[in-house]
Amino acid sequence: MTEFRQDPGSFRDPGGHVFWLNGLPYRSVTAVGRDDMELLRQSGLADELSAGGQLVPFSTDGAMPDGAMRLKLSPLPWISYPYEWCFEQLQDAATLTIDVMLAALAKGMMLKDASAFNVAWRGGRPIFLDHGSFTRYVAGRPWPAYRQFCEHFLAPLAVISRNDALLGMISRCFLDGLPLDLASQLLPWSSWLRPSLLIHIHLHAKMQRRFADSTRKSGGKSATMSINSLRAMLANLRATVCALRSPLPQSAWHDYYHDTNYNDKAFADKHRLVAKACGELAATARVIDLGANNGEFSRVAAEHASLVVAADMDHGAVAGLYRSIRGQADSRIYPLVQNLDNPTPGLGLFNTERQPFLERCRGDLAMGLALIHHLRIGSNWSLAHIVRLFAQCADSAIVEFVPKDDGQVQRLLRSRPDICPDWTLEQVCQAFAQSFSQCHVENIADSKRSIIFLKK
Amino acid sequence: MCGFMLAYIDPGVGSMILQGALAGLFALAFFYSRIKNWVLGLFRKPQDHKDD
Repeated sequence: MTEFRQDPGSFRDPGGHVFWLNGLPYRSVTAVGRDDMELLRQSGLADELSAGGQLVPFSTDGAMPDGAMRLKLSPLPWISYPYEWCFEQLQDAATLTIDVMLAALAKGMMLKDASAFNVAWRGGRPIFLDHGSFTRYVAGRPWPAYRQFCEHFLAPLAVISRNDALLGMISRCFLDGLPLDLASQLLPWSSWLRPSLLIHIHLHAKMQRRFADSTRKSGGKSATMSINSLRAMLANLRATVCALRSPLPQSAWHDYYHDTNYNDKAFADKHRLVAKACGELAATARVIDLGANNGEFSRVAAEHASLVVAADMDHGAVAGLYRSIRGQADSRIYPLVQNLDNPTPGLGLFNTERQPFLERCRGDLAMGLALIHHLRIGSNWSLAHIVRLFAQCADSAIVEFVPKDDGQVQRLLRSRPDICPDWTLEQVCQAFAQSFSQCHVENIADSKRSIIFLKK
Repeated sequence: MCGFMLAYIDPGVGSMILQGALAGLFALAFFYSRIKNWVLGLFRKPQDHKDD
Protein backbone atom coordinates (compact mmCIF):
# COMPACT_ATOMS: atom_id res chain seq x y z
CA MET A 1 0.00 0.00 0.00
CA THR A 2 1.32 3.46 -0.93
CA GLU A 3 2.05 5.65 2.07
CA PHE A 4 1.61 9.37 1.32
CA ARG A 5 2.58 12.07 3.80
CA GLN A 6 2.60 15.83 3.27
CA ASP A 7 5.71 17.42 4.80
CA PRO A 8 4.34 19.56 7.65
CA GLY A 9 7.08 22.16 7.16
CA SER A 10 6.31 22.77 3.47
CA PHE A 11 3.14 24.82 3.14
CA ARG A 12 4.12 28.46 2.61
CA ASP A 13 5.15 28.52 -1.03
CA PRO A 14 2.22 28.42 -3.49
CA GLY A 15 4.70 27.19 -6.11
CA GLY A 16 4.91 23.67 -4.67
CA HIS A 17 5.19 21.40 -1.66
CA VAL A 18 7.36 18.60 -0.38
CA PHE A 19 5.72 15.28 0.36
CA TRP A 20 6.81 11.75 1.21
CA LEU A 21 5.84 8.63 -0.71
CA ASN A 22 6.79 5.32 0.90
CA GLY A 23 9.42 7.13 2.94
CA LEU A 24 11.04 8.86 -0.06
CA PRO A 25 11.00 12.64 -0.62
CA TYR A 26 9.20 14.26 -3.56
CA ARG A 27 8.21 17.79 -4.53
CA SER A 28 5.11 18.89 -6.35
CA VAL A 29 5.39 21.95 -8.60
CA THR A 30 2.10 23.75 -9.18
CA ALA A 31 1.18 25.89 -12.18
CA VAL A 32 2.40 28.90 -10.15
CA GLY A 33 5.93 27.51 -9.90
CA ARG A 34 6.14 25.65 -13.22
CA ASP A 35 7.89 28.41 -15.23
CA ASP A 36 10.54 28.88 -12.56
CA MET A 37 11.14 25.13 -12.36
CA GLU A 38 11.50 24.89 -16.14
CA LEU A 39 13.99 27.76 -16.07
CA LEU A 40 15.93 26.11 -13.22
CA ARG A 41 16.28 22.94 -15.29
CA GLN A 42 16.72 24.40 -18.77
CA SER A 43 19.23 27.07 -17.77
CA GLY A 44 21.58 24.35 -16.55
CA LEU A 45 21.59 25.87 -13.06
CA ALA A 46 20.11 22.76 -11.42
CA ASP A 47 22.70 20.48 -13.05
CA GLU A 48 25.54 22.84 -12.22
CA LEU A 49 24.58 23.16 -8.55
CA SER A 50 23.78 19.44 -8.16
CA ALA A 51 27.10 18.43 -9.72
CA GLY A 52 28.90 20.74 -7.30
CA GLY A 53 27.12 19.18 -4.32
CA GLN A 54 25.33 22.46 -3.56
CA LEU A 55 21.78 21.40 -4.43
CA VAL A 56 19.87 18.21 -3.66
CA PRO A 57 19.72 16.34 -7.00
CA PHE A 58 16.28 15.69 -8.43
CA SER A 59 14.58 14.27 -11.50
CA THR A 60 11.13 14.79 -12.98
CA ASP A 61 8.86 11.91 -12.12
CA GLY A 62 5.54 12.29 -13.92
CA ALA A 63 2.64 14.35 -12.67
CA MET A 64 0.45 14.62 -9.60
CA PRO A 65 -3.26 13.72 -9.83
CA ASP A 66 -4.07 17.46 -9.93
CA GLY A 67 -1.72 18.00 -12.87
CA ALA A 68 1.15 19.47 -10.85
CA MET A 69 4.67 18.45 -11.90
CA ARG A 70 6.26 15.82 -9.65
CA LEU A 71 9.96 15.81 -8.80
CA LYS A 72 11.75 12.91 -7.18
CA LEU A 73 14.36 14.20 -4.75
CA SER A 74 17.58 12.49 -3.75
CA PRO A 75 17.13 11.45 -0.08
CA LEU A 76 19.21 13.19 2.57
CA PRO A 77 20.91 11.22 5.34
CA TRP A 78 19.07 13.06 8.12
CA ILE A 79 17.27 16.31 8.83
CA SER A 80 18.41 18.80 11.45
CA TYR A 81 17.51 22.41 12.15
CA PRO A 82 19.55 25.60 12.48
CA TYR A 83 19.11 25.74 16.27
CA GLU A 84 20.88 22.36 16.43
CA TRP A 85 23.96 23.57 14.57
CA CYS A 86 27.19 24.94 15.94
CA PHE A 87 28.42 28.40 14.91
CA GLU A 88 30.55 27.14 12.03
CA GLN A 89 27.67 25.08 10.62
CA LEU A 90 25.40 28.13 10.55
CA GLN A 91 28.25 30.12 8.99
CA ASP A 92 28.75 27.53 6.22
CA ALA A 93 24.99 27.37 5.61
CA ALA A 94 25.03 31.16 5.16
CA THR A 95 27.90 31.14 2.67
CA LEU A 96 26.22 28.32 0.74
CA THR A 97 23.05 30.42 0.46
CA ILE A 98 25.04 33.36 -0.94
CA ASP A 99 26.99 31.11 -3.33
CA VAL A 100 23.76 29.56 -4.62
CA MET A 101 22.27 33.04 -5.06
CA LEU A 102 25.34 34.22 -7.03
CA ALA A 103 25.25 31.10 -9.23
CA ALA A 104 21.53 31.71 -9.82
CA LEU A 105 22.16 35.34 -10.83
CA ALA A 106 24.66 34.17 -13.43
CA LYS A 107 21.84 32.15 -15.02
CA GLY A 108 19.21 34.88 -14.84
CA MET A 109 17.61 33.56 -11.64
CA MET A 110 17.67 34.40 -7.95
CA LEU A 111 16.52 33.04 -4.59
CA LYS A 112 13.16 34.42 -3.53
CA ASP A 113 13.79 33.41 0.07
CA ALA A 114 16.87 32.82 2.19
CA SER A 115 15.68 30.74 5.11
CA ALA A 116 18.22 28.78 7.14
CA PHE A 117 15.73 25.88 6.97
CA ASN A 118 16.52 25.66 3.23
CA VAL A 119 19.87 24.12 4.10
CA ALA A 120 20.58 20.51 5.10
CA TRP A 121 23.78 18.50 5.48
CA ARG A 122 25.45 15.80 3.48
CA GLY A 123 28.60 14.75 5.26
CA GLY A 124 30.52 17.81 6.35
CA ARG A 125 29.02 19.99 3.61
CA PRO A 126 25.83 22.04 3.60
CA ILE A 127 23.42 21.40 0.74
CA PHE A 128 20.54 23.56 -0.49
CA LEU A 129 17.25 21.67 -0.44
CA ASP A 130 14.54 24.11 -1.48
CA HIS A 131 14.10 23.79 -5.25
CA GLY A 132 11.06 26.06 -5.02
CA SER A 133 13.22 29.01 -3.90
CA PHE A 134 14.52 29.70 -7.39
CA THR A 135 12.74 32.30 -9.47
CA ARG A 136 13.46 34.51 -12.46
CA TYR A 137 15.65 37.52 -11.69
CA VAL A 138 13.99 40.81 -12.56
CA ALA A 139 16.64 43.31 -13.66
CA GLY A 140 16.97 46.31 -11.41
CA ARG A 141 15.12 44.85 -8.43
CA PRO A 142 16.71 44.63 -4.98
CA TRP A 143 16.88 41.18 -3.36
CA PRO A 144 13.51 40.40 -1.69
CA ALA A 145 15.20 37.85 0.59
CA TYR A 146 17.77 40.35 1.94
CA ARG A 147 15.92 40.86 5.23
CA GLN A 148 15.37 37.13 5.67
CA PHE A 149 19.05 36.40 5.06
CA CYS A 150 20.04 38.97 7.68
CA GLU A 151 17.50 37.63 10.20
CA HIS A 152 18.24 33.93 9.64
CA PHE A 153 22.01 34.07 9.26
CA LEU A 154 23.86 37.33 9.77
CA ALA A 155 22.06 38.56 12.90
CA PRO A 156 22.29 35.25 14.86
CA LEU A 157 25.92 34.78 13.81
CA ALA A 158 26.85 38.33 14.82
CA VAL A 159 25.02 38.06 18.16
CA ILE A 160 26.64 34.69 18.95
CA SER A 161 30.04 35.90 17.82
CA ARG A 162 29.94 38.99 20.04
CA ASN A 163 28.38 37.22 23.07
CA ASP A 164 28.22 33.48 23.73
CA ALA A 165 27.80 30.27 21.72
CA LEU A 166 24.83 29.34 23.90
CA LEU A 167 22.87 32.06 22.10
CA GLY A 168 22.68 29.65 19.16
CA MET A 169 19.62 28.35 20.99
CA ILE A 170 17.87 31.69 20.44
CA SER A 171 16.87 30.53 16.93
CA ARG A 172 14.51 28.06 18.62
CA CYS A 173 12.41 31.01 19.78
CA PHE A 174 12.53 32.85 16.45
CA LEU A 175 11.80 30.39 13.66
CA ASP A 176 11.30 33.31 11.25
CA GLY A 177 14.72 34.68 12.11
CA LEU A 178 16.14 36.89 14.82
CA PRO A 179 14.39 40.28 14.60
CA LEU A 180 16.92 42.88 13.53
CA ASP A 181 15.94 45.42 16.19
CA LEU A 182 16.55 42.78 18.88
CA ALA A 183 19.86 41.81 17.28
CA SER A 184 20.83 45.47 17.18
CA GLN A 185 20.17 45.77 20.92
CA LEU A 186 22.06 42.56 21.75
CA LEU A 187 25.19 43.65 19.89
CA PRO A 188 27.81 45.74 21.72
CA TRP A 189 28.41 49.38 20.79
CA SER A 190 31.67 48.39 19.09
CA SER A 191 29.65 46.66 16.37
CA TRP A 192 28.49 50.13 15.22
CA LEU A 193 32.09 50.77 14.19
CA ARG A 194 32.11 47.86 11.74
CA PRO A 195 30.64 49.22 8.48
CA SER A 196 29.10 45.89 7.41
CA LEU A 197 27.32 45.30 10.74
CA LEU A 198 26.36 48.97 10.85
CA ILE A 199 24.63 48.67 7.46
CA HIS A 200 23.17 45.17 7.49
CA ILE A 201 21.99 45.10 11.11
CA HIS A 202 21.86 48.49 12.83
CA LEU A 203 20.78 50.67 9.88
CA HIS A 204 18.66 47.83 8.55
CA ALA A 205 16.83 47.59 11.91
CA LYS A 206 16.25 51.34 11.91
CA MET A 207 14.88 51.21 8.37
CA GLN A 208 12.58 48.36 9.34
CA ARG A 209 11.23 50.42 12.24
CA ARG A 210 11.01 53.59 10.18
CA PHE A 211 8.89 51.95 7.46
CA ALA A 212 7.05 49.35 9.57
CA ASP A 213 3.80 51.27 9.37
CA SER A 214 4.45 52.64 5.91
CA THR A 215 1.29 53.28 3.92
CA ARG A 216 3.27 53.79 0.73
CA LYS A 217 1.51 52.00 -2.06
CA SER A 218 4.80 51.13 -3.69
CA GLY A 219 5.81 49.09 -0.64
CA GLY A 220 9.46 49.59 -1.50
CA LYS A 221 8.98 48.25 -5.00
CA SER A 222 10.17 51.52 -6.52
CA ALA A 223 13.64 50.89 -5.07
CA THR A 224 16.12 49.88 -7.73
CA MET A 225 19.47 48.13 -7.64
CA SER A 226 21.65 47.14 -10.57
CA ILE A 227 22.84 43.56 -10.85
CA ASN A 228 26.43 44.69 -10.22
CA SER A 229 25.36 46.45 -7.01
CA LEU A 230 23.46 43.34 -6.00
CA ARG A 231 26.52 41.19 -6.64
CA ALA A 232 28.65 43.56 -4.59
CA MET A 233 26.13 43.49 -1.75
CA LEU A 234 26.11 39.67 -1.80
CA ALA A 235 29.91 39.62 -1.78
CA ASN A 236 29.87 42.00 1.16
CA LEU A 237 27.34 39.84 3.05
CA ARG A 238 29.50 36.77 2.40
CA ALA A 239 32.67 38.51 3.58
CA THR A 240 30.86 39.79 6.69
CA VAL A 241 29.64 36.29 7.57
CA CYS A 242 33.09 34.77 6.99
CA ALA A 243 34.80 37.42 9.12
CA LEU A 244 32.72 36.57 12.19
CA ARG A 245 34.47 34.29 14.66
CA SER A 246 33.03 31.77 17.07
CA PRO A 247 33.24 33.10 20.65
CA LEU A 248 34.63 29.77 21.86
CA PRO A 249 38.33 29.30 22.35
CA GLN A 250 39.45 27.14 19.43
CA SER A 251 40.92 24.48 21.72
CA ALA A 252 38.10 24.20 24.28
CA TRP A 253 37.23 20.61 23.40
CA HIS A 254 40.70 19.23 22.84
CA ASP A 255 41.43 18.49 26.48
CA TYR A 256 38.35 16.44 27.22
CA TYR A 257 39.90 13.01 26.83
CA HIS A 258 43.06 14.11 28.63
CA ASP A 259 40.94 15.00 31.64
CA THR A 260 39.34 11.63 32.26
CA ASN A 261 40.25 8.59 34.28
CA TYR A 262 41.69 6.64 31.37
CA ASN A 263 45.24 5.63 30.83
CA ASP A 264 46.40 4.66 27.36
CA LYS A 265 45.63 1.00 27.90
CA ALA A 266 42.08 1.66 29.13
CA PHE A 267 41.46 4.07 26.29
CA ALA A 268 42.64 1.52 23.71
CA ASP A 269 40.46 -1.15 25.31
CA LYS A 270 37.42 1.13 25.21
CA HIS A 271 38.12 1.65 21.49
CA ARG A 272 38.28 -2.12 21.04
CA LEU A 273 34.97 -2.69 22.82
CA VAL A 274 33.17 0.01 20.84
CA ALA A 275 34.61 -1.33 17.58
CA LYS A 276 33.43 -4.81 18.59
CA ALA A 277 29.82 -3.62 18.99
CA CYS A 278 29.93 -1.56 15.78
CA GLY A 279 31.55 -4.41 13.86
CA GLU A 280 28.30 -6.35 14.09
CA LEU A 281 26.38 -3.61 12.27
CA ALA A 282 25.23 -3.84 8.67
CA ALA A 283 26.90 -1.38 6.28
CA THR A 284 23.61 0.53 6.02
CA ALA A 285 23.20 0.86 9.79
CA ARG A 286 22.63 4.14 11.58
CA VAL A 287 24.22 4.93 14.90
CA ILE A 288 22.98 7.51 17.39
CA ASP A 289 25.90 8.65 19.54
CA LEU A 290 24.43 10.53 22.50
CA GLY A 291 26.91 12.65 24.42
CA ALA A 292 29.37 12.20 21.57
CA ASN A 293 31.70 14.95 22.82
CA ASN A 294 34.45 15.51 20.24
CA GLY A 295 33.37 12.44 18.27
CA GLU A 296 36.25 10.19 19.31
CA PHE A 297 33.97 7.14 19.28
CA SER A 298 31.65 8.45 16.55
CA ARG A 299 34.67 7.99 14.28
CA VAL A 300 34.99 4.37 15.36
CA ALA A 301 31.29 3.82 14.61
CA ALA A 302 31.60 5.62 11.26
CA GLU A 303 34.04 2.95 10.08
CA HIS A 304 31.17 0.46 10.19
CA ALA A 305 27.89 2.39 9.81
CA SER A 306 26.41 4.50 7.02
CA LEU A 307 25.51 7.37 9.35
CA VAL A 308 26.51 8.41 12.85
CA VAL A 309 24.46 11.17 14.42
CA ALA A 310 26.88 12.64 16.96
CA ALA A 311 24.92 14.75 19.45
CA ASP A 312 26.36 16.70 22.34
CA MET A 313 25.25 19.69 24.38
CA ASP A 314 28.70 21.27 24.32
CA HIS A 315 28.92 23.75 21.45
CA GLY A 316 32.72 23.67 21.61
CA ALA A 317 32.84 19.88 21.29
CA VAL A 318 30.39 19.87 18.39
CA ALA A 319 32.29 22.69 16.69
CA GLY A 320 35.53 20.73 17.10
CA LEU A 321 33.97 17.65 15.54
CA TYR A 322 32.45 19.69 12.71
CA ARG A 323 35.80 21.34 11.99
CA SER A 324 37.37 17.89 11.64
CA ILE A 325 34.91 16.86 8.91
CA ARG A 326 34.23 20.30 7.40
CA GLY A 327 34.05 20.14 3.62
CA GLN A 328 34.14 16.34 3.47
CA ALA A 329 31.16 15.30 1.38
CA ASP A 330 31.72 11.62 2.16
CA SER A 331 31.87 11.93 5.95
CA ARG A 332 29.37 9.67 7.69
CA ILE A 333 29.40 11.73 10.88
CA TYR A 334 26.57 14.20 11.50
CA PRO A 335 27.49 16.62 14.33
CA LEU A 336 24.63 18.15 16.25
CA VAL A 337 24.12 20.34 19.32
CA GLN A 338 21.58 18.71 21.57
CA ASN A 339 20.89 18.96 25.29
CA LEU A 340 19.26 15.71 26.41
CA ASP A 341 17.81 17.42 29.50
CA ASN A 342 15.84 19.66 27.15
CA PRO A 343 15.90 18.11 23.67
CA THR A 344 14.52 19.97 20.67
CA PRO A 345 10.73 19.89 20.89
CA GLY A 346 8.25 19.96 18.02
CA LEU A 347 8.11 23.58 16.85
CA GLY A 348 6.26 25.82 14.45
CA LEU A 349 2.71 25.45 13.20
CA PHE A 350 0.78 23.00 15.44
CA ASN A 351 4.20 22.01 16.84
CA THR A 352 4.61 19.75 13.80
CA GLU A 353 6.41 22.00 11.35
CA ARG A 354 9.80 21.09 12.85
CA GLN A 355 10.09 17.61 14.32
CA PRO A 356 11.26 16.92 17.87
CA PHE A 357 14.77 15.52 18.18
CA LEU A 358 13.64 12.33 19.88
CA GLU A 359 11.24 11.55 17.03
CA ARG A 360 14.04 11.86 14.50
CA CYS A 361 16.42 10.00 16.77
CA ARG A 362 16.01 6.45 15.43
CA GLY A 363 18.89 4.16 14.58
CA ASP A 364 20.20 0.63 14.70
CA LEU A 365 22.60 1.25 17.58
CA ALA A 366 22.49 3.87 20.32
CA MET A 367 25.74 4.74 22.09
CA GLY A 368 26.03 6.43 25.46
CA LEU A 369 29.69 6.54 26.40
CA ALA A 370 30.64 8.42 29.58
CA LEU A 371 27.10 9.79 29.55
CA ILE A 372 24.62 8.02 31.80
CA HIS A 373 26.31 8.94 35.11
CA HIS A 374 25.80 12.57 34.10
CA LEU A 375 22.11 11.87 33.48
CA ARG A 376 21.57 9.92 36.71
CA ILE A 377 23.77 11.81 39.14
CA GLY A 378 24.24 15.17 37.44
CA SER A 379 20.69 15.66 36.17
CA ASN A 380 18.71 13.42 38.55
CA TRP A 381 17.22 11.25 35.82
CA SER A 382 15.81 7.97 37.12
CA LEU A 383 17.23 4.73 35.75
CA ALA A 384 13.86 4.21 34.04
CA HIS A 385 14.31 7.52 32.18
CA ILE A 386 17.75 6.44 30.98
CA VAL A 387 16.46 3.06 29.81
CA ARG A 388 13.56 4.75 27.99
CA LEU A 389 15.93 7.05 26.12
CA PHE A 390 18.07 4.23 24.75
CA ALA A 391 15.16 1.83 24.16
CA GLN A 392 13.33 4.37 21.98
CA CYS A 393 16.42 5.24 19.96
CA ALA A 394 17.44 1.75 18.80
CA ASP A 395 17.10 -2.00 19.25
CA SER A 396 20.76 -2.26 20.28
CA ALA A 397 22.77 -0.06 22.58
CA ILE A 398 26.13 0.23 24.25
CA VAL A 399 26.48 2.32 27.38
CA GLU A 400 29.42 2.96 29.64
CA PHE A 401 28.98 2.47 33.36
CA VAL A 402 31.16 4.70 35.52
CA PRO A 403 31.11 3.62 39.20
CA LYS A 404 30.93 5.91 42.21
CA ASP A 405 34.60 5.51 43.07
CA ASP A 406 35.64 6.84 39.65
CA GLY A 407 37.12 10.34 39.72
CA GLN A 408 34.50 11.74 37.33
CA VAL A 409 31.59 10.59 39.52
CA GLN A 410 33.44 11.77 42.63
CA ARG A 411 33.64 15.17 40.99
CA LEU A 412 29.86 15.13 40.33
CA LEU A 413 29.18 14.16 43.96
CA ARG A 414 31.57 16.71 45.45
CA SER A 415 28.98 19.45 45.64
CA ARG A 416 25.79 17.46 46.17
CA PRO A 417 24.46 14.75 48.47
CA ASP A 418 24.52 11.21 47.10
CA ILE A 419 20.85 10.46 46.47
CA CYS A 420 21.49 7.67 43.97
CA PRO A 421 21.73 4.44 45.99
CA ASP A 422 20.75 2.53 42.82
CA TRP A 423 23.92 3.61 41.03
CA THR A 424 25.54 0.17 40.93
CA LEU A 425 26.38 -1.95 37.90
CA GLU A 426 23.93 -4.63 39.01
CA GLN A 427 20.99 -2.27 39.39
CA VAL A 428 21.74 -0.45 36.14
CA CYS A 429 21.77 -3.80 34.31
CA GLN A 430 18.50 -4.80 36.01
CA ALA A 431 16.92 -1.56 34.84
CA PHE A 432 18.06 -2.09 31.24
CA ALA A 433 16.73 -5.66 31.39
CA GLN A 434 13.22 -4.17 31.51
CA SER A 435 13.54 -3.17 27.85
CA PHE A 436 16.48 -5.16 26.51
CA SER A 437 16.45 -8.96 26.56
CA GLN A 438 20.23 -9.30 26.27
CA CYS A 439 22.60 -7.53 28.63
CA HIS A 440 26.30 -8.33 28.52
CA VAL A 441 28.98 -6.52 30.53
CA GLU A 442 32.69 -6.21 29.76
CA ASN A 443 35.14 -4.34 31.94
CA ILE A 444 37.41 -1.76 30.36
CA ALA A 445 40.96 -2.99 31.02
CA ASP A 446 42.97 -1.04 33.58
CA SER A 447 39.95 0.98 34.71
CA LYS A 448 36.97 0.69 37.03
CA ARG A 449 34.56 1.33 34.18
CA SER A 450 32.50 -1.16 32.17
CA ILE A 451 30.74 -1.27 28.80
CA ILE A 452 27.22 -2.69 28.84
CA PHE A 453 26.13 -4.29 25.55
CA LEU A 454 22.35 -4.33 25.11
CA LYS A 455 20.01 -5.95 22.59
CA LYS A 456 16.23 -6.21 22.48
CA MET B 1 3.71 37.52 -13.16
CA CYS B 2 7.35 38.07 -12.42
CA GLY B 3 9.24 36.18 -9.72
CA PHE B 4 9.29 39.25 -7.53
CA MET B 5 5.52 39.16 -7.31
CA LEU B 6 5.52 35.44 -6.49
CA ALA B 7 7.85 35.69 -3.49
CA TYR B 8 5.80 34.51 -0.53
CA ILE B 9 7.83 36.27 2.13
CA ASP B 10 7.48 39.89 3.09
CA PRO B 11 10.67 41.53 1.83
CA GLY B 12 10.11 44.46 4.18
CA VAL B 13 9.67 47.99 2.84
CA GLY B 14 12.62 49.21 4.91
CA SER B 15 14.87 46.46 3.53
CA MET B 16 14.02 47.26 -0.08
CA ILE B 17 14.52 50.99 0.43
CA LEU B 18 17.81 50.39 2.25
CA GLN B 19 19.09 48.33 -0.68
CA GLY B 20 18.00 51.02 -3.12
CA ALA B 21 19.71 53.69 -1.01
CA LEU B 22 22.93 51.71 -0.76
CA ALA B 23 22.97 50.56 -4.39
CA GLY B 24 25.41 53.33 -5.32
CA LEU B 25 27.77 52.39 -2.51
CA PHE B 26 27.78 48.73 -3.53
CA ALA B 27 28.21 49.70 -7.21
CA LEU B 28 31.28 51.67 -6.14
CA ALA B 29 32.57 48.63 -4.24
CA PHE B 30 31.98 46.48 -7.33
CA PHE B 31 33.94 48.75 -9.67
CA TYR B 32 36.67 49.31 -7.07
CA SER B 33 37.24 45.56 -6.81
CA ARG B 34 37.32 45.25 -10.62
CA ILE B 35 39.80 48.08 -10.96
CA LYS B 36 41.91 46.67 -8.11
CA ASN B 37 41.98 43.24 -9.75
CA TRP B 38 42.91 44.83 -13.10
CA VAL B 39 45.78 46.80 -11.57
CA LEU B 40 47.02 43.77 -9.61
CA GLY B 41 46.78 41.73 -12.81
CA LEU B 42 49.28 44.08 -14.49
CA PHE B 43 51.93 43.16 -11.92
CA ARG B 44 51.16 39.46 -11.87
CA LYS B 45 53.45 37.11 -13.77
CA PRO B 46 51.72 35.44 -16.70
CA GLN B 47 51.03 31.79 -15.86
CA ASP B 48 53.15 29.15 -17.51
CA HIS B 49 51.25 26.99 -19.95
CA LYS B 50 51.75 23.26 -19.67
CA ASP B 51 51.76 22.93 -23.43
CA ASP B 52 54.72 25.25 -23.80
